[in-house]
Amino acid sequence: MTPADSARALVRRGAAVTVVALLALAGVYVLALAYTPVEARQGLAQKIFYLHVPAAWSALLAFSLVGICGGLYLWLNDRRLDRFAASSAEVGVAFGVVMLTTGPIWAKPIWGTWWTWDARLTLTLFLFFLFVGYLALRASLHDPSERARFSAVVGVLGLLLVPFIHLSVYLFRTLHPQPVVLKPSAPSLPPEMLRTLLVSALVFLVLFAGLVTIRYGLALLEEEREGGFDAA
Amino acid sequence: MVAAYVVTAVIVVGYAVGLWRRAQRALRARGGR
Repeated sequence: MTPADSARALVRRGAAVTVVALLALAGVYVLALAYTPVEARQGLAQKIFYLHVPAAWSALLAFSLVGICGGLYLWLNDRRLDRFAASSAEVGVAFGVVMLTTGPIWAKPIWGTWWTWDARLTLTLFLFFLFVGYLALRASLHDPSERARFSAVVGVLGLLLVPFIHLSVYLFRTLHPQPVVLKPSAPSLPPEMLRTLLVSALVFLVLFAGLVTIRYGLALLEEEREGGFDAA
Repeated sequence: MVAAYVVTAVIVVGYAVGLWRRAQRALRARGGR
């Protein structure tokens, strides 16, 4: 099987998974609007939770995978890890855009402001910029080996920010609510809300898998066009 | 709330379609070589 055949198969498979995930996302919309109760204090604005939180989890997962694959690449020098890291970073930035647009739309009616420079929001914005920089760095380097090594280091540095972002709501005074699911004690949500959130998280995970698969196929084609990893 | 739901749909569908088109362009370019 040539790289182009593999890429074609990956793009096709990824597209099928993505279409299923997008249809499932429409199902999440129905669940969120029709199945979950309207929260007493926040009203309809709280329903942004079912998109904002899974998008944030997926973005943080994507960025963490970039760092993990980057670290493994520096150790093992396996080009598949670099391709996966590049794919995960791009999809992570797309999910990051969802997180950073739905957040302010939710914040405005509840906090009375679109944005506040508190620890959680600021660190998340910096992480997003760091991975936009990661993609810009990749686009600016033409030697594939050099690009893989330099971007792996940036990915590992980005990974170091992720635990701070998760813990920032405990470490600093912040407007952002503390976790209601990813915490040591049991989730503090009514069952309908928790179920819808978990379904939405699963759908975002499948969407991530589909998009990364397409992007990985595209990375294979780009690599072949440049003449492979060893071309200087 | 409606704005957040619309924006999310536009971003994820837009990105997925854009990625698909980039992949198709790359495949066509590869086939044409």
